[in-house]
Amino acid sequence: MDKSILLQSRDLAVGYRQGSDKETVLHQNINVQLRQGEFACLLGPNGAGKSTLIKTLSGFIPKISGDVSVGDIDLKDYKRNQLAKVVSVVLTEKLEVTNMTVFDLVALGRTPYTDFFGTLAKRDKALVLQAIEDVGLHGFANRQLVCMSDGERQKAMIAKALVQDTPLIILDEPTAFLDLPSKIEIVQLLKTLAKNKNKGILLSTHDLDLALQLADKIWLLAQGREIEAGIPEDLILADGFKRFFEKEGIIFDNESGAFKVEREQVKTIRVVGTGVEYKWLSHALNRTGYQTTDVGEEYPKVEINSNTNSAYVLHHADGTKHKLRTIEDLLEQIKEK
Amino acid sequence: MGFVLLTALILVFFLMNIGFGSVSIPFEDILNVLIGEEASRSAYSSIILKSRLPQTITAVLAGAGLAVGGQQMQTLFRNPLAGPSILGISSGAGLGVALVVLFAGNVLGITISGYGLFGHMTVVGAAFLGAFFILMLIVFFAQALRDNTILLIVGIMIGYAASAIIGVMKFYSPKEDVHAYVIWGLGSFANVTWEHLLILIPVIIIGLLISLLLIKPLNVLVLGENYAENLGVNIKRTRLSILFCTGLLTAAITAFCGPIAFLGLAVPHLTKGLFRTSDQKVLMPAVILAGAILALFCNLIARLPGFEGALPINVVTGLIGAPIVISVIIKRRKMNSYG
Repeated sequence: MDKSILLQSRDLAVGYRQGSDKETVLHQNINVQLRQGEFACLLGPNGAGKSTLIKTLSGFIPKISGDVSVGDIDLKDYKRNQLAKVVSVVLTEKLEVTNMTVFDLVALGRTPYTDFFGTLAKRDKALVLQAIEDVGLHGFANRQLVCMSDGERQKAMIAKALVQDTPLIILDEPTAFLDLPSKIEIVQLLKTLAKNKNKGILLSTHDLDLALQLADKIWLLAQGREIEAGIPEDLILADGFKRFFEKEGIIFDNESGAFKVEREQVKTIRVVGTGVEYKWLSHALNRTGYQTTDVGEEYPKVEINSNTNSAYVLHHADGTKHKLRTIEDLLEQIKEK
Repeated sequence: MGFVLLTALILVFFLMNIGFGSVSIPFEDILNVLIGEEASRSAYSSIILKSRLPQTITAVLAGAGLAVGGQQMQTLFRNPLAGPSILGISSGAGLGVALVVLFAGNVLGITISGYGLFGHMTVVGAAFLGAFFILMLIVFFAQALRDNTILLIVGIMIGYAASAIIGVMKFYSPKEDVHAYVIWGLGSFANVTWEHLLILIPVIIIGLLISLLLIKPLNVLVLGENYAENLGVNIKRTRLSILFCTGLLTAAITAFCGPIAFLGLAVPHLTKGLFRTSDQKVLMPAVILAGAILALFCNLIARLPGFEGALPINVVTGLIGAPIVISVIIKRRKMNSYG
């Protein structure tokens, strides 16, 4: 067997049990792999069962059928304390503890290795400090958790996962309640850690943009479909995102790798120009319900002169001209006609 | 540093508890009696050995035990307002006592309160059985319910149910019995004799030892059950051990001293304020010491010259405990508005 494969599922079915005999299967025929040094993102709409899959893979809930193995060993054959040395997790939940420093929190990651009372040896302390550096929390070791931002606290949680010293780290929407810059930072950090520490990292997230830019592999999950996994580009070319995410009124643009809101665009405006102004002018026109084009003499035309004070010149179909300073003014002018 | 302070305080309050009271005893005599020498007056050694020493030891045990219970419940339920009796265990003790004092008086025509020591042992036994019955009920639910919040609500509901049954019994009981029950409910460290201590001391020591054994899992539980499980903690076993430990301590203390309010809730907050850490390796021993100190302090106030034992212990703990609870709530609110 390929030694670099950390996590592998074969015909796995996940779901939950109610009582002793009733079971609800959410997904089946799951065949996925995660390798050393690989950063994979699990994407899917809400209610797709991402969380159930993540919980099954990290050993929180039992599988319904099929196999999951970590290394060469079946997940269910791990003893509690062994599993703690193989899979570490970071979860969505917010931690609210007073009187706890970053060091204290990260040190808890050493729990599977410490003695009966949880005493930290010299080596443990060194590892904790190293992990705090590795996640970019330099100088935060003695900072109280309550005095930190949510993003910094999640970084501390990632440091906890690092000192747990597991080949595999699984994160269940750790960025769900973070602001955009923190999200980007965290996902970037995970990507770097996977590569530099040769760990297998699985992240479930809603942030499609980030996943497309940073993930080595993407796992797509949606209700009533079989999971699809692959590198981002192949999935786009195979219309994976279109099939998994498109709803009425929302379309996935394979060219830009982003979602667009479908609007009725009845009128057409010709835009002449280049550069960043061109891009955002088209954006503004599309947003307000106009189709844009580069050619066609019959449409009203907007010229862009980046170097002058009145950057936008609007040529109406009847030949009149308006010079405008901002896109907002331009939109006003178009609306009036 | 903090531990030196706590140890010093415990010694000071211990000696003050023995020295002060309706009869003031000189310091020299206290020491003499404690090391087994003769006191300058034989009455002194009788007062100390028969009354004040067992009472003081009881206060130490009860304070330490209840504080540990409070610390464990607050950590397990991640709720700063939890205390050792939050799961209805002391209501269970109350139910046991009510059955003996009120129900026996009503139906069988026996007034237990008139039976002296034999009556007191019956009350202790009934209280312990009642508390243990509720503890078993809680343990049963704990095995069935995964969610701690629901378990907490179930515990509180069980407490209400027990109180309701007690209310019914009170309603139909003669005045004297109700009065005896009310007195029991106000709590006291004074009714515990050396014979009782032979039972109480080992039980509390066992409870405190268990609490020290639970330090590591309790530390991890601060992160919540999911993280704890991922770090290799056996959640089910840990939870049952914690419930059992707190239950045992609370049941024994309530049986002998009556329901002591607030101590168990307040001490963990005081300790956290003093030590500013979340490490149970520090907190648990500190809570044990601080619990003993606060109980000694309350007992001292209850017995101040002038009150002559007229001030029940729960009145004192309530008066000290209530301001603490209020300050904690206000402090938490402030912290939340910063965050």
